[in-house]
Amino acid sequence: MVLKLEPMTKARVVCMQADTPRVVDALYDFGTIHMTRSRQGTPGTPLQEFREISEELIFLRSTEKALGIRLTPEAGALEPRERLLAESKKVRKEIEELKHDEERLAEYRARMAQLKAQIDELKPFENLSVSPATFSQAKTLSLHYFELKSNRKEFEKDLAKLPVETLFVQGAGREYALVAAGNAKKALLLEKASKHAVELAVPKLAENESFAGALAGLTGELGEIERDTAKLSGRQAAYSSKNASRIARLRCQLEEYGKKAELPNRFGRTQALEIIEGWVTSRKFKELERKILEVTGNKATVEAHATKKNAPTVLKNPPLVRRFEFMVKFFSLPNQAEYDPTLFISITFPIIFGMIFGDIGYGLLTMALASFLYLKAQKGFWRHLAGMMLLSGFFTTVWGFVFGEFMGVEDIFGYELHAIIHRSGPGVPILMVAALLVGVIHLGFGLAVGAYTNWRHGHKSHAYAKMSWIVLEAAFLLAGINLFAPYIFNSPTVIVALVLASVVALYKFEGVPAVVEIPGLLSNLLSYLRIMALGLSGVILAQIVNRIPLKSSLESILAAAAAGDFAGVAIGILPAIFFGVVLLLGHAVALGLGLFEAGIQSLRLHYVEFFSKFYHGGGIPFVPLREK
Amino acid sequence: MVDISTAGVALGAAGALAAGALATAWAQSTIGAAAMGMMAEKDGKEGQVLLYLALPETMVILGFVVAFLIISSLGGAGAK
Repeated sequence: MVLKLEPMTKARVVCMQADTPRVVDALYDFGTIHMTRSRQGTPGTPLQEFREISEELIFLRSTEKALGIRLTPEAGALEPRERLLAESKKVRKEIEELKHDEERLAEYRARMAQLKAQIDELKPFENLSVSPATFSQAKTLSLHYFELKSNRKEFEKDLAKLPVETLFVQGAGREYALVAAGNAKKALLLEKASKHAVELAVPKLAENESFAGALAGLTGELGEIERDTAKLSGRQAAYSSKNASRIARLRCQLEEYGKKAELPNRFGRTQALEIIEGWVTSRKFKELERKILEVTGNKATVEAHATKKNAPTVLKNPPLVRRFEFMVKFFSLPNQAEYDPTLFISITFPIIFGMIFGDIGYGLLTMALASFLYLKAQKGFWRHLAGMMLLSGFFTTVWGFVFGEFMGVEDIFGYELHAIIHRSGPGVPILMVAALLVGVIHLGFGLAVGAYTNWRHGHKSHAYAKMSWIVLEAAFLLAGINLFAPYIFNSPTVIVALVLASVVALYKFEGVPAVVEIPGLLSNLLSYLRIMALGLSGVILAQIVNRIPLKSSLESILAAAAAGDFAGVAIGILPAIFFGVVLLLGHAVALGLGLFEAGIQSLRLHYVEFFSKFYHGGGIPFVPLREK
Repeated sequence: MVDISTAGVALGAAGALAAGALATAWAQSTIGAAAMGMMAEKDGKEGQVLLYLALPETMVILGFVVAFLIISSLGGAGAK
């Protein structure tokens, strides 16, 4: 039955410690056991190979980080462990070689920095025709080389009165000056020159070496090192791109083996035995037993424990209903004492969604969008969402016929739609009552489920209290009818009697807290008015979009064409295109907003109003032990 | 010329809607700030955040209903 959860059995396997690796493999092969930590005996220890796998994993992860590899390989069959470990060791060797390259790269980088500094020092002397030896050999003369800060004329002007000889040199977009003065005038020269120039230190060069020659030599060496650096870096990058998927695959596969090897951490053990505990679906228990006995050569026991405490939840729904499971999981999985509400949601969500959005045009568009998404998404969340949207779109179309609306108008290309409930004028109060009626039914159903669940579990007073809530809700409904349609029901005495009876019953079965919660029920009911309010706002939005004067614009073009006024046709085309685009965009926005609001608000009515009447959740997700 | 009682009714409707809208905005700003914090801490909570943000919209919806009822009392209700 779809409302019931998959029955679970707690299995306890006791086997010889020598058989542990085979049992672990068998549990993984089985693929549907939810492992728990055994409290029997002393805590278990990982399998022997765990240490080696861990070391290789640490190496592979650090390599991925160092090489900037961020890949998640596609799932594939698990390769043999020994082969993976051997390959990992091969990668280790390759990385060692790359590390030598790294050391050489560091040396090259240091040499390059040194060369660049030397080149910077020599650059100002590049065009100086004087030999470097001249500077050291001058005895009676003082030779100085300046880089000019200001223009040459001012420098010359300041030095004009001194007995000096000056040679100006151009180079690298700057101007330099070699100044020779008698040793006696050295101090004066430096003082005058410092206003307009900075003295440069003369680099020490080998004997007979010229400035230009030294510079050419250094530049040549730098170029060579730069080429070697690029070559080494390229080798690293090539290795990284060539082996990225290989390293990521190795890491992922060894991670699986690592998980397997550390699984016995969750076992309990005695001197010779291993104790393994986990949850399996009851119908698979025999299969587990068979598998374990097979791999251990009948040297194990597999027992079923009669407990439901902390059992994980497995939902059991047919494909049509399964697409709504994500909504239940999104809130909270049912616990073992509850019914699975997916079936309820799969019926009421599309109906309420459709009632909020209610429009034939938007409904058909929603179905078209959902079909597209359904074909595109092969599986998973989007596939489920598409299936849910398809059903919701269908009900949007159905309610569109009830409201007689097609994209905000009450006809389909001239064919008038006959609304059962108008979402305008005098139809609005009827819509309001309809929304409240949906609330009454929805909440009443939730309360009835709550009453039945409590009754089934022997909580009879809570079950009676839930029934009292239903009576109170009926009283509210009658009060509403009495207020808005007294010609249907007009008996305040009955209403007061029902209210009093239910309040007394609530006090009797659940005490003061239940009585205090009575306004909460009214608030829950009024919350369903959002069905009407959101519906109206959707209609108004569509009507505003429809006011865009595309039709009149097209008519004026046709009139101009009929009159042979081609200038008029040409003038009218641009506004018509503009109005057409705005109209399409407007309806796209209305569709998007409608889908979002109807979805979110319908979901809210389920989570907050409906679920609060019978559902607590808190189920433990079933996480089967299996290879990725 | 609009008579004073019609203007009063219109103002009452506007007040009902405005109060609901302001209360919703205030609640959503608080929830929004907390939600951003939650999303920064934990991935994959965007759906829940959307739902939490939609929760206080009840107030503006009830404000809309009250406004609608007030305007209905003038006999001018309806979306059209």
